[in-house]
Amino acid sequence: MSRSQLLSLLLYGLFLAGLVTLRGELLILALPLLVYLGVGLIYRPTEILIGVERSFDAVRVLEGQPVQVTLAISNRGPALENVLLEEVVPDGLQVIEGETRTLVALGTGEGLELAYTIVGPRGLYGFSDVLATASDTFDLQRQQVVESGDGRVFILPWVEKLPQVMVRPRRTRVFAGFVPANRGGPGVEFFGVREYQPGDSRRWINQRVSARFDGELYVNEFEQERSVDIGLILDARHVANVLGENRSLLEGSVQATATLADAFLTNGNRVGLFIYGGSVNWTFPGYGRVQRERILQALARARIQHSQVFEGLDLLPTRLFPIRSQLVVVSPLRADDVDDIVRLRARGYRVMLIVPDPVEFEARSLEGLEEIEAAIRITRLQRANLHRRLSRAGVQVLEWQTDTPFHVRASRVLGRRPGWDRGPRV
Amino acid sequence: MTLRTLSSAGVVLATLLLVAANTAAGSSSWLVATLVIGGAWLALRKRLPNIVGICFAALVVVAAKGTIDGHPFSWMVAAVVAALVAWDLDHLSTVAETVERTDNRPTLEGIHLRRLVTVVASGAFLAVVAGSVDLRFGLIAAVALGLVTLLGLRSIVRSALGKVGEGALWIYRGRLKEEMKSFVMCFHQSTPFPYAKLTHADR
Repeated sequence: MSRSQLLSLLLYGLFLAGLVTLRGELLILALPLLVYLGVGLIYRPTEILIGVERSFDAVRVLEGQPVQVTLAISNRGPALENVLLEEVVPDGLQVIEGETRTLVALGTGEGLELAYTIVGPRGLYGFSDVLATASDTFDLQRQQVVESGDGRVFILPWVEKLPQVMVRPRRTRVFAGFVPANRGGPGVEFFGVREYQPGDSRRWINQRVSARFDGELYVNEFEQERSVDIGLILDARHVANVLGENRSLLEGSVQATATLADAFLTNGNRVGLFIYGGSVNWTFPGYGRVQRERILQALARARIQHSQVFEGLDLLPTRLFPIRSQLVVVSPLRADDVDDIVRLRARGYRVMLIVPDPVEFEARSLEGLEEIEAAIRITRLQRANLHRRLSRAGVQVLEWQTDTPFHVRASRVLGRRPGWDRGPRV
Repeated sequence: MTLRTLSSAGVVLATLLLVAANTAAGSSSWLVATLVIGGAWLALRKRLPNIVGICFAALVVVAAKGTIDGHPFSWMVAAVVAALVAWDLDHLSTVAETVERTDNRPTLEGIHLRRLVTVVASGAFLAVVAGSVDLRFGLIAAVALGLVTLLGLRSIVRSALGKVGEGALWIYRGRLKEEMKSFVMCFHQSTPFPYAKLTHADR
């Protein structure tokens, strides 16, 4: 019951009691309440006209970095005696400093500034509403308006620097890069020897080989290094990521994908991103910093997706990725997915599989339960079997425990080619 | 002196006045009830903010009962005024505590207190004047004045209850306005009246 309703009820009660008992004193007793209610009505707010301008000290930050928001509010209408201004902070963001609610008296043309600092997890956060609740001095009559002052903040996933990620797809692009192209030409690494041709530098002449043949010169040839097409596939399926009690592995996957995208783009490759799980979320392949920004923004918006149709990886739209290019799949890997990933390999893609370890993730929450050790051992054996099947099919698998940063594990393993791929070149 | 202290003083004053009146009249049950109400107001107002309104209403009811029982009328008026002040200041301090920042808080409180004092003094003065003046009306004049009073009270209460977006009467009024607007639009554009269209469809 509001204050004005309570007062009205008391007034009616006193009047009725006065009429029923024929006691004029009860009517007189109601007079102070009547005056109070009347003054509240006289001074009630008639119109709320406020202007809102919102500004941010940064509209894109990395996870954990603070953003300062400044809200300039001005009164463009009649004076407001008592106005409660309240900023609606988007869900998920945390105010660590400053104020989002204030009670003020605003004369015509007057204004004020609210400043506060927020931090939050990755995501795209849209700010829009400011609530202004004006009331009379006694707060008997309230009027509320919602003013919008649009603004948005991107909180991007944290990116760690990886020194080098070794990929060797069978097809390279024509532009120079860092991936050995298995072709002779300008480069650094020794590739082979061929006959001297006019225009070749004299410094390339291989003296030992030339000495074996009379009158013929041979020059060293180097392996060309070119950029490649890389398709990043982030698995956002609910069935794969969400384990018990709504705990998700997606955060680890997103961080790994961001780190890998940054490493590939830094080396001059063309990178695209596909987020698999429900709706088509495809970041068209591109180069450089702009593409990095696009991918990070797509990753910032990545959410777990429920879909019965996309429960398996069989509907992965492979036509989006150039044939014989490099695919990097970041997925917790279900047993049903192995055949689909092997099928990708059979189509000619080089496949790298990055697996946030679900067994260890789950085991952390189950510590202390009976027979958990045996369950973990059995599950690990099953997963080791899956990994072996994938490795036999030529898929490079990297599993890491999500409590350690991805770049620590990745820099040790991904900086060199897998053992089965390091055989003598044919 | 903080608002809470002023509010507590109001509660204590209202309770003491009612207790004194009930003690003088030898009404022990109402005496206990008054003490319980005052104690509950002071003890629970921070944990249960809604109890303040209930206690205020209860003190007004006790004052009304005292008036009917013939307790000193000026004490009853003073108790109601003190309870009203306490209820108002309690609400103000609760609002001020819930917001993180209050610009010009002394100014806001100053304006509020000045207006509260004026309003309360006017109400008390009117009550005293009304209590001391002896007017005699004929039946017709009394009925007419009673009607005027009831109509005035009705309009005040309707205004108090009819906040924007609330109240069945106001919603009804809003609908009525919309209907009228559509009717006028139909009339101006020479299009069939919507109800006529309905009637035609029914046929």
